[in-house]
Amino acid sequence: MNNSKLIENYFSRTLTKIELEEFNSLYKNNSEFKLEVDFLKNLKTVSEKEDDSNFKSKLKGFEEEVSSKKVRKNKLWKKPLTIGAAILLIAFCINFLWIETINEDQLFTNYFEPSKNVSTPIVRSANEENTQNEAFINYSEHEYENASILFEKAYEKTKKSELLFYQGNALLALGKSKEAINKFKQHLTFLDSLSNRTHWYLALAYLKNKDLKQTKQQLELLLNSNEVFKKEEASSLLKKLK
Amino acid sequence: MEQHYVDALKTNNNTITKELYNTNRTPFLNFAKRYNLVEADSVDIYQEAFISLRKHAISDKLYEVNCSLKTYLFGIGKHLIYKKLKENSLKKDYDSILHKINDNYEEIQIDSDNELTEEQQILQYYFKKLGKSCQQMLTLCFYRGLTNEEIAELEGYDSEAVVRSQKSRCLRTLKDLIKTSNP
Repeated sequence: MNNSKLIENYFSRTLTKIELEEFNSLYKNNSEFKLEVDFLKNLKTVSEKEDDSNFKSKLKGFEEEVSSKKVRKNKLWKKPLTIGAAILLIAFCINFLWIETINEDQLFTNYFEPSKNVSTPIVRSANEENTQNEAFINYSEHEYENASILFEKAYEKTKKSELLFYQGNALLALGKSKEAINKFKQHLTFLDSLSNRTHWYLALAYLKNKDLKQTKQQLELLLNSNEVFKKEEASSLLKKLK
Repeated sequence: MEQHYVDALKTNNNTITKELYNTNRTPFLNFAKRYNLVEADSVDIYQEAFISLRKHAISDKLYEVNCSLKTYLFGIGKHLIYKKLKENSLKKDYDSILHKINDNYEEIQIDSDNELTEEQQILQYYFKKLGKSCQQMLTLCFYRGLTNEEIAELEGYDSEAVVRSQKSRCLRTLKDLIKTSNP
């Protein structure tokens, strides 16, 4: 086994006993090997810190959702109980419709996460300032407004259909579900490696738009395709909508 | 231990992680009430316990555990509650009777976070300069310990070879950033 494979398996904890002995011997006797491993061990510690910090932010987001739900519950609780039957009925209707809306929004929040960039590696250097690269940099930094504009420009220049998929995601992240729907529909007129995935995001855009019929249709299209991406989530969301 | 929750924590599955967080939140806050903590402290402790739980999932520690995930989470939480009570006791008289509360949760010790060395702090500075996708790639490889095949499947890359080349490019960029800034 070559040294880089040995290092790779060390970090994925998949070394056999003999390989581990080889690894330890190299670490002890080969200074270049040791230097590389020490660098990667430091990288492991640093990435752990960053990962924990990102996860902490995620938990903060969960907590904010819980708190805002509590506030909504309190508002409901404080509604006067002594008003007349007619008003109560109207209030009930409004309340019922309102809760329905919350459920769709809640489901959207639970399931939507903008797609990762799985198409084009970002290059961060002064020589690489092309629109597409800039679009992906903004996208990876959650600057969705800029990303959407840049994806639009990049698509006009390159006609790469996959850019429509990412622009749709950026629009959806901005809450612009109608525009996202149009973008995903446009993407579906092409056949590329992300075409099937678009059904998932188009379903979520319809969900955000409260069009449950179209949401279900898109989820079924994804489930009936050979795409493995988000299949488990699609199936669980469909169950909740039925 | 509930395997699908452990897998969700390891693979960052947002939906299942949120479900796990929300399911145990209220029971934990009720549990923490017995120790007379203010709710804001209990929420902080719950989050810290949840982060530790995830760390244990990532480091494969949970494979050796026989109790339920909830029991384990509450065990970590209990350890953190004691830690908080000890901190509070420095400010006022500590009521040791609080430690004698009977419940079904065995305290689980966790490692405290070590400060980064100077070398690691420099590396952290340049790591943050990388694009999000590179940060994610290196985190998956080195902290989370996923194989190239697992990363390809999780992140939707076409093949293991694409992951390998992306990882190598990210490492090269990081090393170049350090080299250029510290000639």
